[in-house]
Amino acid sequence: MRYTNCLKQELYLQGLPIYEADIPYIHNILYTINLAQTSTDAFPHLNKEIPITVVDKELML
Amino acid sequence: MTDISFLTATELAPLIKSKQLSPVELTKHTLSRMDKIDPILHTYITPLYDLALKQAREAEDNIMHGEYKGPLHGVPIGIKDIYYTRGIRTTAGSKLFADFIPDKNATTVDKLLGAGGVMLGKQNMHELAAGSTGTNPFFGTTRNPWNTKYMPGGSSGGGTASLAAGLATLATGSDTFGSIRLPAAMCGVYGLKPTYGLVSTHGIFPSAMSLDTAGPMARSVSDLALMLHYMAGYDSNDPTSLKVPTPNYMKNLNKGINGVKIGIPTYYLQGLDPDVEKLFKHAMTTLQYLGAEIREIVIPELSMSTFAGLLTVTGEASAFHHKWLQTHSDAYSADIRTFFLAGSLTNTSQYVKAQQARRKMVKGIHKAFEDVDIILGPTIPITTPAFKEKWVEQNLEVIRRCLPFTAPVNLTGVPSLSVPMGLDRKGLPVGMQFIGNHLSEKQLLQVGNTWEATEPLRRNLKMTLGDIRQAY
Repeated sequence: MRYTNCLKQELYLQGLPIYEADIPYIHNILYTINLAQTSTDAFPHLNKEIPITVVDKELML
Repeated sequence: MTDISFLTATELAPLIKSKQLSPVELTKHTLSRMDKIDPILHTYITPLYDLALKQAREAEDNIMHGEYKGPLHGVPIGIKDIYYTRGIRTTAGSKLFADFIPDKNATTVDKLLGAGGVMLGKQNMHELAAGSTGTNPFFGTTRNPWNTKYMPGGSSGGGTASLAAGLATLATGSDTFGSIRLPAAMCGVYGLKPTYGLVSTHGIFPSAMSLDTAGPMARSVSDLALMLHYMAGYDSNDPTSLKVPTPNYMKNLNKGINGVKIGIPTYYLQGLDPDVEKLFKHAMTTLQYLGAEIREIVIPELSMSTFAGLLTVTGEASAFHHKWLQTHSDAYSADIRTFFLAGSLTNTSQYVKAQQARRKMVKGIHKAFEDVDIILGPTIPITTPAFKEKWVEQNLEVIRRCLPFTAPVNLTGVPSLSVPMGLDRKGLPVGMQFIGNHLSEKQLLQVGNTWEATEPLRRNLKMTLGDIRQAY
């Protein structure tokens, strides 16, 4: 319940809509992401990798 | 005589060039078939009967006057409704853009029409290219022609279903986390997700910009090569476009696979439905028989695919849609809205971590390609599901199961070719994907062409109207 309220509050603060029926689905997606994030534990030096970015040629002018 | 609805572009081209087949006759035949079948399948959002006939007449006039443009001239093409088309509404499968009429064509639309292709219409898709089932509450849910109780896959499901039902000769797709390959697998057709940046995405609605890739879908590998020949190439309007020479994809397609080293990552052997596992094992045996060297390989970095994939897709899509989500939230269907809203609740630190994971994955993939030429895996781990009443939940579940198999190539930018692998026990197609190193499309097409010759579906894709009605 507390987590659900947090989700709603975060949506509210961003000016995003709150549909009661959406909340379990959003919770489920975030749970999947957070669970999947444990896969990065196997790579302790991940923070040293240069993030992939869309390189725009205007950055190189 | 063979039904011209199911001839490939490669088969049609010589008939059209030699004036044995009229583009007008071909287009009328396909439009007539659309008229009869599409009310059941919903593969088109906006069919373009008058425009298609006009373009077919122009093609015919040109050819009769000795101005044959090449193998796309007079060939019917379906355009995914995410590609901008000048003066023709382009909805991206969304209520939000139901009345949007672009003032320009996507670069690839210009290229395909410039080569003489005939645009049959704008094809149905999962809303905003962000879902995997083909469900669309606004424009009608596309149904799988093999059995209309089953999903065609998404998001390019209108295109793949139209190919399977003989309602287009060629179709365009886009692939952010599997949207070409997943529906190609479910509908038993061929789909190529090219190297990131090889095909311009200028004039295509973005989903997740660092992953979005445009590509061809067809009933044969040679047709994919033909389409890629016209679709690929540098575009100064697309900041992500690659400035690289493109080979002749259609040449030497019959090279064979003798001695080709194929690696099967252990990652792709986990969590398979029994029918997928059985067909995949059989495919490996067949490839070995054809001369390929098969070995299991380990790419540990692939384990980060779900995290990096979900984070990147939802994060980038929610950033693009943030303003509209605030002001027009009811214009989104629940599955897409929840997917995007979840992205808005992830944080920057997680996003950067996902992009670091992608860097690590690219290194892992490159290392694997030091030892093998091709990586192989099932396109998706599941057999095609029947539609369920709880479609919101079902879409999110299909994404959760399939994204780990499809997203690795989007996250790393490498190309992947989905081919039919066989039929499951329900008689529905199952697919597998050949994954290559960056810019190895030609080799993928050569390997795929050899595989196609084994006739993996053991049944011609020549469904009659009766077949489809019976399935309905």
